[in-house]
Amino acid sequence: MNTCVTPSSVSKIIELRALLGERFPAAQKTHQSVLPTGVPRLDAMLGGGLPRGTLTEVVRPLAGCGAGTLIHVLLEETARCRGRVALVDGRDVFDPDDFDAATLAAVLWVRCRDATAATKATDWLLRDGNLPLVLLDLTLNSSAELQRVPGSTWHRLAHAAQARGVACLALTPCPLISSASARLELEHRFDVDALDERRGQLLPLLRCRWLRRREAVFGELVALAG
Amino acid sequence: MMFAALLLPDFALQCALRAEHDVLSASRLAALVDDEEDVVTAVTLVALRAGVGPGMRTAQALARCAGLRFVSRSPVQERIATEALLQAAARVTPYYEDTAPGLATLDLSRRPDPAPSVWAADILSSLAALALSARIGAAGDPESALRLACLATAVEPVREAENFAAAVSPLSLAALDVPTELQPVLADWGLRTVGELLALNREEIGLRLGPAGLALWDRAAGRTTRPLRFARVPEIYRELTEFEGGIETLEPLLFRLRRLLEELAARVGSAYLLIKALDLRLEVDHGGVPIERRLTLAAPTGDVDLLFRVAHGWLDTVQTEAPVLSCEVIAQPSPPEDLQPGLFESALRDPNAFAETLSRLVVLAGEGRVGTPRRANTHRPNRFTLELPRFFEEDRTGYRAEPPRRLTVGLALRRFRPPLPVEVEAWRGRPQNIRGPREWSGGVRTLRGPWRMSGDWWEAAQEWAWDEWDVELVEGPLLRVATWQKKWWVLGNYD
Repeated sequence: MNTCVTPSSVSKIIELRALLGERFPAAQKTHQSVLPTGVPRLDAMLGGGLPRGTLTEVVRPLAGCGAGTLIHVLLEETARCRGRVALVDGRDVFDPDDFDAATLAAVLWVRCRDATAATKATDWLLRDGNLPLVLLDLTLNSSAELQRVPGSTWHRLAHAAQARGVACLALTPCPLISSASARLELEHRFDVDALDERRGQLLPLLRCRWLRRREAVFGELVALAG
Repeated sequence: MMFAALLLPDFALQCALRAEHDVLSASRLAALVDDEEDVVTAVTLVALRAGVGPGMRTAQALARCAGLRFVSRSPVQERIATEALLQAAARVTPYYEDTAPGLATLDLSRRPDPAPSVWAADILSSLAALALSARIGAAGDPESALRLACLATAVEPVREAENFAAAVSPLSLAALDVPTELQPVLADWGLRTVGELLALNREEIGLRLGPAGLALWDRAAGRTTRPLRFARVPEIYRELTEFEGGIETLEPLLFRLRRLLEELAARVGSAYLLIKALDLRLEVDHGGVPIERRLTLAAPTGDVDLLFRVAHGWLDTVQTEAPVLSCEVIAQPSPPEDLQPGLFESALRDPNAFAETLSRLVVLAGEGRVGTPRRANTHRPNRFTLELPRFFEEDRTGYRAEPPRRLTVGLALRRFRPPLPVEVEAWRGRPQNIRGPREWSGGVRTLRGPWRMSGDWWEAAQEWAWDEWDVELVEGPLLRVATWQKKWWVLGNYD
């Protein structure tokens, strides 16, 4: 049955969601608080997927560690779950040739020329809050570019993600984001044989290790060394 | 039977003052002038108190009141006010009549709660928001309702027929449209007001004045009725502002545009509708071509701030060769979207905010660099277009393309745009060593290829062909390189 949606009814739904979140945190956790990445190991480490309202950093120390593949899997998984995702491409390197139309239809691709524009675009998307997942790909941006991004920018992004309940995943070439609630590092480097493997067989090799993790313990945020 | 008259007193004057961005109020010294006759036809209350009255020459009126301001009739504003009046009437009942300019007569008999106390305040306030001052009279017949509306004042804008005879007794007999043949008789009898006529016995009036006298007495007593000629509410929501002499900067236009949008949003909202698009039209001086634009919103809204931002964003890009003489805004109404968002689904929270964010992203990244990718109908790599996302349409229609399929094999390619030119040492056409940027240089450890790529050979201008290789460098990076006409490029790296 359909009903007419007015601004007041939308606000009531938002209030109801918040109320349910308070009363039934377990249900919220299952349905809403994480977005599965499609990478089983990563989901297991993150407690089910990317947590909403947080900024997660994945460091890709070397080319060939699977950062691009991680993005691909995330886009496919999001489309499969009938979600939408924003991909902020710091160097305009995303290749849509590998995807079918249904997956691409779930993607908002922002082709930036440098890290400054990419962080600004991410900031706007997080503040907008309409898309539940924002990917920021800075893996191919130069360190000089990344150093020009003020440290306060990352805090602003983390705050915006928290305020709007958006999951934000930033992929960086080195540990960069001090305000990230979790920082992982891709540790497996693929060789040329991986080009012949099916994607499903590569996913178990897409391994990460913790660099830093913050967990809520009695309302306090505790930083754990990885 | 119950009827109500919804009246805009001094209709032409109100509309003229509205065109002048003024509200009819006691603080205004203004008079409506018939430009052809040079005669005052209506005045505000303050002007009346200052000794100015209808029928005076303008020079005479100015002699009485030096600060008097003359205004002329505005047919456009009268049309807009009529539309607003009928739309207000339609909110009370679907059975109403467009009786005269500035007057709507409402048949309340089929309304469950016809008493004006139930609905009048809402109608009056909505018209007041449009700078229109209204009066309401309610009685058992249309004529009596009109007479009561004429008796209403700004302080007491609603008059009901609880004691009709007492209410209308001060009215002049002229208000009853007395037949010409009866006028001298009534004058001889010394009757000047409705109350004096009603004080006489109806049968005695009938004996002396015949059927015409009886009809006059019945009209005075509110015992007559007539069928209404029902009108239909106009579906046009239009506002217009004119600039005397034209304007050359944006600020005054924005100032008045804001007010127009507020009035439009109020009118559309009062019909329980939202605005899905705005049609803006700017008339320019010196016979220039009018500038028109339809601004479509991602989702219907009644938010004036949002409408203003959208209009402002377009006006920022407009340049005219001559001053702007007028700005017309037509709101396209729409019912609220027929959507049922689930508790945990991923529908856009605020489509209009999303559309704004998209606009900002386009400005930041550049035209054609923000959107949903759509692959071109070709086998040539890296051919795609970016379209604005249709997320909201999908939410509204419930339509989604077929479920996604996992098609991919191997690692993802990060494609360099443009491809990176490099120097390659090759042996028998096979790359052995790559020299380019530091991270993409080095000896080749493993090689796959060549993959022959070609297409569009049937069109000479678009023909393309090259050989691609998948390369693993000694340092570890996996690259895709291509060679064409003895030159080499790195197309991207696998990651």
